[in-house]
Amino acid sequence: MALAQKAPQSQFMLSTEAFNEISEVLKELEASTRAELAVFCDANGVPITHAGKPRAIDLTSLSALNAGNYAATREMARLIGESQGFKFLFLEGENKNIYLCNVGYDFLLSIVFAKTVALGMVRIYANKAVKQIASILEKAQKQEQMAEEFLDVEFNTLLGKALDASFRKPNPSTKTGQ
Amino acid sequence: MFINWAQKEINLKIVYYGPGLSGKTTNLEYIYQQIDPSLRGELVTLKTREERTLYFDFLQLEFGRIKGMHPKFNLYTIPGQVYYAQSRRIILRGVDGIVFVADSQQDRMIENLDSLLDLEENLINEGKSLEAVPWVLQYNKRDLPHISTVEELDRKLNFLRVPTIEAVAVQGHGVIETLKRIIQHVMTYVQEVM
Repeated sequence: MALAQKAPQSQFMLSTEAFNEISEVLKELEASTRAELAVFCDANGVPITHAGKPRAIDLTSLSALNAGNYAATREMARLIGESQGFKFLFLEGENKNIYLCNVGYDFLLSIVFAKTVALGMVRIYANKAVKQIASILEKAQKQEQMAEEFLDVEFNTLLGKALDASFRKPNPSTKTGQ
Repeated sequence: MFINWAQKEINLKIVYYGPGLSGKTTNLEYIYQQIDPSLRGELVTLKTREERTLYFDFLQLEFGRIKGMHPKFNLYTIPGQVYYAQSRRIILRGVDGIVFVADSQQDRMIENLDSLLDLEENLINEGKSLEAVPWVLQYNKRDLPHISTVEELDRKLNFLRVPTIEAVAVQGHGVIETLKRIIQHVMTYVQEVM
């Protein structure tokens, strides 16, 4: 999928409705391709939703590595003069493969599937899913909810308390400035 | 920042920046060891054979439910060596806050300054700048001989008067304090720009 020619967004909010619609697209994709797992994450590596059975797969780490991998190959494309980036990444293993492609500039779709599944089929259904998700995201951007409702001073105070309670032993004494 | 309303998640990205061998990975390793294991993911490290960071280290922290939301902080380090410029640019994408880990040793001041300049250039490429992104300065390796004074480090590196923390990351001194300061700083900034 060609990269959208625009700057990445620094803030993005995904509505519950859009989340549910994207989750449905992933379920269809997983069923159509007989994939083990389909993961939708943002380009910074934050997993958003998935379909399939991740079992022992750590989705957080997988998404962070997918994002790093994709970003690195985008730079490689730029270096060789392929300004639109690569259409997809295909990682072939002995038993399992990974197909990875972008959804616009800000999101990624990765599919983990068995060696017995044809790559051509995965590509066709992945392309279809990318178009569906892009359309959902476009619609969702017009219906963003407001985050001010919860991101206030009270939120920061509670977060500070949660942080203090999260570490095993007292923090060694430190000096701070400014 | 990414807010997933269905999952009630708010995701923020914090990058540990600084010259090679200043202690960025050591910060993440200490946090990984000290935090309640139920609140963190795996520490992902992409290293060279010489145990230097090749691409990035990654650690996700979460702090339960706050006002009905699950705040998650995604911590990344960058490879400090000069020749990994492209990797640093990639990792800075979508950053919400930065910890600049400076090496306090006198003979590393030039590397600190070069890395800070590199950070500013990369932020500008992302449409941001040091003046418009929450960041803190960690003066690391305070236990070593021949270190610059805090006043000297302030004078040369802290021209924007951001919060500073003295640290000895290998012993854990200042590591958690640094994390708390950057999280506070990011959250305050997010409120202001919302």
